Amino acid sequence: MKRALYWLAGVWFILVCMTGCGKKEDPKKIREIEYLYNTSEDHKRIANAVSDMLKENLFIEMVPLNMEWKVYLKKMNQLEYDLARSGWIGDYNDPMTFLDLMTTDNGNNRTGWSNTEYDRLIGEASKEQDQTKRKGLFFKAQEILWDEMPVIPLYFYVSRIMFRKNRIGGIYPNVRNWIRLGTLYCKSGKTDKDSLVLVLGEEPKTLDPAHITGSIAIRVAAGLFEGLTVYNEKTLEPEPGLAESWTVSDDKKTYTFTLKKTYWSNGKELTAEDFIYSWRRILLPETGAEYAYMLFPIKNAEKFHNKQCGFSDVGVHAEGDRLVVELNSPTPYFLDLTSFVTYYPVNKETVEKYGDQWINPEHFLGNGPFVLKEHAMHNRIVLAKNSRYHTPEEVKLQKLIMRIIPDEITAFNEYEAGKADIITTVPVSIYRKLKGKNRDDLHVNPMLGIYYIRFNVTRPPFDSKKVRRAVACAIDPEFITDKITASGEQPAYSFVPPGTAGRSSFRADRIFDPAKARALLREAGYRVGKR
Amino acid sequence: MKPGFIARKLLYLLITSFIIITVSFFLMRFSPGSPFTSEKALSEEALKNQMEQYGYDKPLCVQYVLYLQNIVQGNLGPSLSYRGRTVAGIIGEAAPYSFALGIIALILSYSSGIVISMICIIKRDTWLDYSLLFFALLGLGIPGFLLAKVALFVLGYVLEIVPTAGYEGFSSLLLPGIILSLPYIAYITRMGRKSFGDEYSRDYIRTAYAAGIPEKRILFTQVLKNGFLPLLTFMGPAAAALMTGTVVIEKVFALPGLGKYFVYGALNRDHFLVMGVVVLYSSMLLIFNFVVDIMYHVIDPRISAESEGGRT
Repeated sequence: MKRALYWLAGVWFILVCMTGCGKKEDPKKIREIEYLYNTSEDHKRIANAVSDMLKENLFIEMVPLNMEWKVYLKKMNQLEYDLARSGWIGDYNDPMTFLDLMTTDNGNNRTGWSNTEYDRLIGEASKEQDQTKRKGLFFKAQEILWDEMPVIPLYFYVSRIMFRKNRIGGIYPNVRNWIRLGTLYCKSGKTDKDSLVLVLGEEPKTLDPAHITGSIAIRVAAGLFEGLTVYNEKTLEPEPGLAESWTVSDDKKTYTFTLKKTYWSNGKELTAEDFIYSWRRILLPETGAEYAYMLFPIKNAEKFHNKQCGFSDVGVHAEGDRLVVELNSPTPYFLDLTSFVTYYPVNKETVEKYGDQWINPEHFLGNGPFVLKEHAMHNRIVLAKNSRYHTPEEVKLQKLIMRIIPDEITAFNEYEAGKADIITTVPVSIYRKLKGKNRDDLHVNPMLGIYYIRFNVTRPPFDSKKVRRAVACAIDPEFITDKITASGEQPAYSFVPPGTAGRSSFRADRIFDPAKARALLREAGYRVGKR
Repeated sequence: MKPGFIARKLLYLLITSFIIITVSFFLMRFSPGSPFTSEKALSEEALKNQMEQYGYDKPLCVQYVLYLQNIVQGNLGPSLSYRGRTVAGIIGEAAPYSFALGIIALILSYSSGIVISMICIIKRDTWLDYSLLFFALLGLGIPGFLLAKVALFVLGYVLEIVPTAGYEGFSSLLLPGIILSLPYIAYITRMGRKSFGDEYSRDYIRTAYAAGIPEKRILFTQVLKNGFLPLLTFMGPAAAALMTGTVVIEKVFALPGLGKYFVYGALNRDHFLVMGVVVLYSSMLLIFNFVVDIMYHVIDPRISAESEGGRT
């Protein structure tokens, strides 16, 4: 009996040693942390690189967790994460589109971070008319962001498009990845001069300007509609679209647009009331427009959206052929907004008659350089020249065929075989080969977009600024852009991409320094070292 | 065939459909993530309105009953991700491509599989038998997306003997149909080799040879017909799977088929779209199996309509 008990005790002891039962977690070591990313090979490679860097430089165990997009969004919204990958493409060409993300009330913040001084600076910048002062406010705001580090910027996005300059004109790669479809034309190197084939990477979810948020749908809609202003294809400066001119009040809060005499594609006149109808439709909460906030610079637009006032209080009304828009405060980028998809007009009669089906080719009505001739889902979208466009002589193409090819390699092969004229994404593996061959039809351009890592600052250990900074010092963005993504991206040392209009001169020094990272972690009260 | 047989089969079909729809409905609703969450945060008011518009403000059981009522009337609901489109419209637009592709793959897989397995029977245990089996199994072992990409590149872009990406006409479906059929050729070859082989080694076949009946007649009227039953059983699920599309082949060849909606709908929590393709797939599977059951009895009258499963 005694021998049996001794045997049992020995087995128990061995088991305890093997499993570590009864061994308490060391409160002075950073626990295992989770890094969320939505399913993608690129995100996975970056996640693994970050995990390796944290393990090597800070001895922190980080578990990359792959999840579907919807589950990832849910966890972000509910702040159920430690670290998460994130990205943002600017909605308009101004630092505000990036910096207001981190204000306390912004629904896209998703870090739990809040800083009163930061909110104050961004609030002031949203009203400041003087560009120099505005840049100064942005500079100070970024200093706070860099100091507090609720997010770690990794790199700025680039666009990679391919087209042969001897065959196609009218494309000028830019930071918005904007192609002004109405100005595309064929040159002598192309046999068929009347049409072009452009490849889209996926089926757009909708072509209704009230509901468009994705870049693919924005690209198609740019051929079907036109707003008060339109981006110049070379400079991206807003220039007259449906508005032939405008005046701005001295306080910069009232814009009066004088409209050209233009028509819908069925010949009916397009009026200022069409714009009012369209914007009201987007602001109505029952429409469920994700981009409703793009109209919030308009006076009382947000209040109307939240049912706090009637539409008569919203700062937009028609005076004959003029559209008068009053803003909450001076908005330097307002003309950029009036060029954006959310501000496009739609035809009231068509929308009310056909409901959501109005955007199908048989009912479609637009005012852009093209009309929607054919839409075969996941196959092709065919745009035909709109003879009722306000300057049809400027539209050189008779037909623009947008083929939907989700596989990037297939899309590239179609381009190489001459069956596609423009492709708007290039697979990374192909990019590296093309770069090595100095292909002049590969156009890489910085974009208004940033890839970054979010901290959940409501949860230890990342409620500590020092810990966040330590993690930032342990991650090398240059390694990620050189070795991991390696397709033309630039490491990010600010929160606003280069090329953004009105950008301040803020640029932080490179902070990758493993020794400093370990020192910061010790200062935060954590033990650093292998288990 | 007794009249009660068909009535009973139809009843089983309806009950199974009901169970599939119910389980799928609740599985989708209980999975994490919502169709209304997006990168651009919707305001509370807008979110509330969207949920009301699509009936998500009602209790789940009420939503389920309403969904069943709509299904019975042929209304599969709106797509929550492709705004302005109905699920029936999306499926209706994509189905012809998938059906055509599936039929091509089914015909190819059965005709090739049967021919290969018959050759294997006649030349049993020879180098030809083993070689054919080996090549048939390659179609099963090599991943479809790899075969598809290599075949498309070599035959489409290098040799230019087949259409490349996208749907430009019926010929665009031939190469994808061949790629899609390869694993099924392997299945059918293996099944046929076993089934025809078993039939071929029976006493009555030996008797038929001894009686001087020509070999061709023996093979095609006796061995093929009687050994076909297991292949017939497989045809139901094979037809349903092939005709509802495959996301990989469709992606590589940029075909506007149904397969992508299974994945896309689930990833985007487009509940109505997922339910729509589930209803379609399960209906096809059940109907094809029902037809196979009927054909079983017609081909082999020994099978009693009363016995469970009805297969020997």
